[in-house]
Amino acid sequence: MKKGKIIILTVIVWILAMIFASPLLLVLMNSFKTKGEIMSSAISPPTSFYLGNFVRIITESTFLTSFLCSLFVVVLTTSLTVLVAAVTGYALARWQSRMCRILMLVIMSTLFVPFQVYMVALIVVVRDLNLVNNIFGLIIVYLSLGMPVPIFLCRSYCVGMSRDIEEAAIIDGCSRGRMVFTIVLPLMKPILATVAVLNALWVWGEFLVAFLVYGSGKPMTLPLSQRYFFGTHSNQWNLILTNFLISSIPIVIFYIVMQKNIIKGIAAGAVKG
Amino acid sequence: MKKKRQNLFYLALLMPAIILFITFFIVPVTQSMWLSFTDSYGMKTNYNFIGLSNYKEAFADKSFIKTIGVTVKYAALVVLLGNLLSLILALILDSQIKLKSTLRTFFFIPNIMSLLVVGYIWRFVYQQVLPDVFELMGSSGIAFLGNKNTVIPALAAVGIWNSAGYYMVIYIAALQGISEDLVEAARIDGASLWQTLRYVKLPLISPTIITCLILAVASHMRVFELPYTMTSGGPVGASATMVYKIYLTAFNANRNGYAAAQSLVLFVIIGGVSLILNHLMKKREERLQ
Repeated sequence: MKKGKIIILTVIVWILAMIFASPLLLVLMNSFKTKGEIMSSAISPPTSFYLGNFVRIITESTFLTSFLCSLFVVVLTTSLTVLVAAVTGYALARWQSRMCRILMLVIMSTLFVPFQVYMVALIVVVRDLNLVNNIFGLIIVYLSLGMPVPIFLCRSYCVGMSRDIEEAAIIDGCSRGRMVFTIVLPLMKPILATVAVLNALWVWGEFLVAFLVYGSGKPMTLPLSQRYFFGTHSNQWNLILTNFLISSIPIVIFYIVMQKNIIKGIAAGAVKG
Repeated sequence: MKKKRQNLFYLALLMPAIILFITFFIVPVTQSMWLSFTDSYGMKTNYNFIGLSNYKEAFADKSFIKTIGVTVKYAALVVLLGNLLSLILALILDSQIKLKSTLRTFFFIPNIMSLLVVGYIWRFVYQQVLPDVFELMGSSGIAFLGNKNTVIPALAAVGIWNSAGYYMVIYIAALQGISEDLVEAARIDGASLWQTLRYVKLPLISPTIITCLILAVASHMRVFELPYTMTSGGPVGASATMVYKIYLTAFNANRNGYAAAQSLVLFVIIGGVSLILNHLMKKREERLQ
């Protein structure tokens, strides 16, 4: 490509990047302004380095408990999803049986029947199981809704894995159970890392399922607490935006650390899913 | 004997997934179909079979029919314009420009944020920032979220902002999968940049384009958070999407049966569009062979 063309492309893409970044820059800028300053103009820069919003959010909002609650939900959901997806994917790849064909069919159909289509009946089931507003109820629903694509990815990965090591282990007298957990799962590490990162990202920001299953549960997950905070601080945009800013920091750090896995996982998920 | 033990072992591995799928997928999906033929209401455990009444009501209910149009309009804007933008961004980021991963981060960050927060942030942009921008320019401006003609494009812009980075990442992966040799061969044959794009790159990634379109249709037809946070479906239902309507019917009006019928209509629409796109892809593949 000619140099001139590259310069034009660079300019265009940076203008687009600035447009994409502007809402977040506005959040950042307005977090340092008082309510009055925002009311008089939302686009003027802050007049002083005002930190009052941050102090109030940290001392008054439920940010810390919600953060820990979300962390708990994510860690538990993602660990369980990885575990279930790994063993299910492995069994589906190694066992030729009618049971597996039926299960594959079910997994395929979940990809075409989004949760929103059966959410009404799902909540009825959750109610019948007495899992409403129960944090473990939320985790188990997240596990069920989030596992199809991970199972799919794990199965494809296992299909491509050589059986030689597994057979050698069995001949050496290793029990099947031990073989799966000490030999197969470590071999699946790359795909499990991808699955874990994507699942964690989804669970962290998910709102509708949490709202329906765990709507008045305590402590609130982060998205629930943000909705609550918005509702109780109407028009106090200085506090609302600061709350968004603080609660987005962990996920942005997570992205920066994990970006290779995230990017790889999305591409893989699109091809296989 | 050994075979039998092995089968039992595999079955044990599959058991957790089977139980979860039955409890949280198969049971609710079948129950959802059944509920749509009943007058199930709120927490009440007894309800009656009422045949097709819910469906008749749905197709006679103007406010419900309107949500189909709203959802399709929103999804069409986000899917088509969003994928076009994502593809352009991917093509630019696949060229020899500098700071690619920084740029990728700029476009991808909106996608990792919770849709709920995205909705609230853009509500701030539309209600507080844009009026100030218009004032600065000395015009009276328009309230994008308060006007029934602009509210859908306004929400669609947010949908595109949120999802463009995601599809861009998929397109970049597809473009990087194209063999250098083919592009090189086209260049040696004297193909211009545009011709290389039109006759080499785009045909090669067309399966990915269809995949992204299917993914995007399925995901944007179920939009809920944006109308919920930004407009509450207003003004006068102009931005009430199907899932938002189902949510209101089931959890505000407590009419589970009617909401289940509305859900099935949503499913048929999503499934129908995906099938058509899938069919287009198959036909295209046959033609290429």
